[in-house]
Amino acid sequence: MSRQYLVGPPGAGKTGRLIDRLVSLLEQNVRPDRVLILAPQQSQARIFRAALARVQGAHRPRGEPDIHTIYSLARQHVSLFFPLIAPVAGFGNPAQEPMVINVEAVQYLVDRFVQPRLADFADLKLPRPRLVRQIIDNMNKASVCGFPLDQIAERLGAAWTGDAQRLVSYRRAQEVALDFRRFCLARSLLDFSLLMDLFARYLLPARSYQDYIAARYRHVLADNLEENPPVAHDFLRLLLRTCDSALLAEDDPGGYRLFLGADVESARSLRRHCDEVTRLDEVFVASPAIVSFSLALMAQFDEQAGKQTRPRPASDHPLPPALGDHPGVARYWTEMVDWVVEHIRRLLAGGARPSDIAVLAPFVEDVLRFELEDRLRADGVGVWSVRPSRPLYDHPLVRALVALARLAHPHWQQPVPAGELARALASLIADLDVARGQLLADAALRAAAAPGLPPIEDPAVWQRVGVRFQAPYAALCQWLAGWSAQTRADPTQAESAPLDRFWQEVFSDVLAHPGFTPHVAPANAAICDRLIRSALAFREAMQRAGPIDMMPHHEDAGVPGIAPRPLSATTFDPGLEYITILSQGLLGAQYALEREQPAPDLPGANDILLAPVYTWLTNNFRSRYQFWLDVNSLGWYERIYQPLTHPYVLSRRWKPGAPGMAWTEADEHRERQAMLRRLVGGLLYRCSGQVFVASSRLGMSGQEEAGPLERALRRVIETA
Amino acid sequence: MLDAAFVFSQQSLGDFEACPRRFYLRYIARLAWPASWISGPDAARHQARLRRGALLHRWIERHWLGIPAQAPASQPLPDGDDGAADNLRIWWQRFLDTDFGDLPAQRLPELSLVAALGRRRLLARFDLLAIETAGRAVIVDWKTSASPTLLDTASMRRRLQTRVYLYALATAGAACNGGLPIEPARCHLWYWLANFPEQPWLRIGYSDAEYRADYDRLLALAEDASRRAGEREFPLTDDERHCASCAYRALCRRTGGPAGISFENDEADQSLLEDEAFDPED
Ligand code: SF4
Repeated sequence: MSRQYLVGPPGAGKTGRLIDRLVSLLEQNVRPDRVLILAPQQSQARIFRAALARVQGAHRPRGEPDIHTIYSLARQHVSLFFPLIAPVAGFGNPAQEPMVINVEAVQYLVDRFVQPRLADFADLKLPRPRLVRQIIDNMNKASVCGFPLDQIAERLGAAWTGDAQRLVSYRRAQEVALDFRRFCLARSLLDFSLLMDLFARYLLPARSYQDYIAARYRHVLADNLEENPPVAHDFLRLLLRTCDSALLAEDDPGGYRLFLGADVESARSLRRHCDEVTRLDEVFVASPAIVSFSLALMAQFDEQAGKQTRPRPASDHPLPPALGDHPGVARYWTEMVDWVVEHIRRLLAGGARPSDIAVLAPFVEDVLRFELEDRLRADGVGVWSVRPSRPLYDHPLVRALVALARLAHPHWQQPVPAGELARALASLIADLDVARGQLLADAALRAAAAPGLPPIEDPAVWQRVGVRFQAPYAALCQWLAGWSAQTRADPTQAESAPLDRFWQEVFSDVLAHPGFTPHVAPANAAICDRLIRSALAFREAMQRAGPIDMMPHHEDAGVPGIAPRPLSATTFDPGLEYITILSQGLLGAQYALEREQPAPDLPGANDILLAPVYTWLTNNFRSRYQFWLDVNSLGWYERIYQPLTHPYVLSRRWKPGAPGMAWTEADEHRERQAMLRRLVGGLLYRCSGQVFVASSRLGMSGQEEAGPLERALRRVIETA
Repeated sequence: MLDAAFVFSQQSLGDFEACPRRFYLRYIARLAWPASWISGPDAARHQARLRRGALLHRWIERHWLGIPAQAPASQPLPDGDDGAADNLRIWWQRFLDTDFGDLPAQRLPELSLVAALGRRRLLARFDLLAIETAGRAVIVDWKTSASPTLLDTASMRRRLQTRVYLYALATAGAACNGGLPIEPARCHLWYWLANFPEQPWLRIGYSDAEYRADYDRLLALAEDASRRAGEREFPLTDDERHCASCAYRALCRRTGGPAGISFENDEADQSLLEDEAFDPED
């Protein structure tokens, strides 16, 4: 067998060939645990698991191959081989088992190092959570590229051409990263960056590890190489030397997971280590019309693309068959949404199923989802929205649970105002709306003799609110009173019954029961589950982190609706810290809260899909009809403002110190064009029917934009 | 309806056998339900016990892979149980003192096998499989529970884990035996009992007749679970003792009594050391 490298556009059958190879290996009685399948993310790993289930039908008893992402593999192997690498990697106590800490704990701890130095970053005018996230981002990028943290500032500095103050900021950011790294090494805490660093710089070069993987993985299958960071390619390069067979696949165009260090050039370097490179050009998803439209549109972003004359209105030209209609150009954003809805209706009337349709935009705000849902409801069509992540605190149930925690921990000195209490009660008690929640909250505040949730005896209140809500309210307030009494009686309660326990118990004893939202709508329990797991992991990380006064002093600024940490607080309470950072938004955008793709026989499977472009691409979706919204938006083209990090400069390709390594406007333009080219290509190759493009002169917030995608679309239509 | 790709395991079959509704909630509705059936300090102790078990499994895996094991005496260990962190050190020492000379020479730690079960699949994850060509194949399972049930051979023989492991080995063992099937008579399951140094092994053999009986029983369970559709076809168990240690009991409006059927709660689960999926998707 050979080492083969497949490259081709999405939909050319590469994953199918990988699955065929897997089946054939198993049929040849290759030991399944000697087969490694490397996927770029868990959702793609699931494709292989499902395929295994299909092919290992009735009479094919087999073992289980290892199906991993590079992150899950690194995590497993670093944990396993920790005793080998800990002594040389700088751990304070190499004999101590490592603890992998979650992103909440990482954000919190880095923030602790940032706080005393906020003034150093004042000129960047970045909100603190974003500052923290960019520092973490730098550490992560360094680790997946395999260079040490102390090269970050040098690399960023070498590329920087602006004022010298930025160089100072780079150095300060690097100091924070290094302090945090030392902190973790002293306590055997593994954040993502340290874990990947151990994998890249200590485990991969270790002879005994190389022997282990050489013996373990005799056959390698890897999909979407281009979405992986260089460390994954380093790992595969090692295996290519020793394995019996390898089949590697690259999507071209691809490389969308730039924020995680995806590196197309690094992926392609593996071609040299393969016996054969096969280009697959026949596509089975996109129609010939789409393919030719795709090639024409992608060519618009080639470096050599000629500049066209001023385009004439698109409606003067015959329509390329790939497009479902002439571009919808509206004056206002809502008119654009109307245009989209009208075309969706036409498709549905023509026999399309809602699940054939994807609505894609550079950014997906709640308002877009709401507008689409609202307009399509009358047609019996729902909207399945896939967004990369939303802050946990955005969810009303999470806010309600935080409010309960504050009520139950009076020593935190975090009173809950009436409006917030009203929303919390409405979220927790089934069928209680906010107006009636407000009546209850007002009555509760009137009746409150002490912090907490008091009983409401006044029958007039219950007559107005509804007597059926009396029992759940009473159950909640009795339970909270019991908890608070325990806390008062036992000052060590906070330690023996921490916040995650509090939430779990209030859920078990109260919220899981009839009369409460999770009982009536159990799907809501998932968000409670995530919150509890997050708080638990945070607490455990803090326990390992040790005495908190070893960290810089926490100057709590407080946030609207949440009082600052009381000055009298002398002990460290992970629960209080957790809800403070949760509500400060420091734990930003970590949880995909939207529901998963519905199974075909469940309600909702016939919804249309709404997603940001990058999310849709990185999830490797396919859709028969695509609607591209806001095609004049610069969001299709520009990167978000990230003054402290840089996806291209913090990559392996970028060589600091080499002549001409300053990052110029021309570099930025070239990379943006290249990314836009990959973006439109990736979208179109995943479309089996037609594309509808729409824009509005004035965007959602009233701004005018004229991004390059719209111009390119016009040029292609002109020459169709 | 159960997903076509669903793979049964000892755990899911056990859930179905104990309570069809629990099976439905866990594996079909996949309901994340953060309620706990133990509360207060007991919960923390329980969690610490599970972690110690998981850690022991990791050390043992390292041992078989030839990775130098930690020096347990010098590191802090998961506590939360009357100083029971020491247990881990004691277990480790007992492991090191155990004579494994009886085991076949080829040792495969943390091995998964997927066996056909009618149109369905059954996954078994062995702590260790020790195998010799044309000879015995011995599954070893490290047990850290202190429950005296572990010493009851008849009860351990009936245990669903035992039935699933032996059936999976006899059905799918070919995958790690150069394509050659392993006859039931060659299959063995040995439980290593960390808490019973006087009687560290409980050994269970296998036979053709038992294999056929296991096939019938496991297949009947899997087919029954696969045939049903919709929550209503997965009724609540009649035996409410199962509810005492079930997280869903509020949802089912079951109170559960103190005399509940306790699970084997010291099962090691490596995921306890690994937490959530680790893909930084965003
Ligand atoms: S509480 Fe009882 S009836 Fe409900 S799922 Fe659990 S075991 Fe079944």
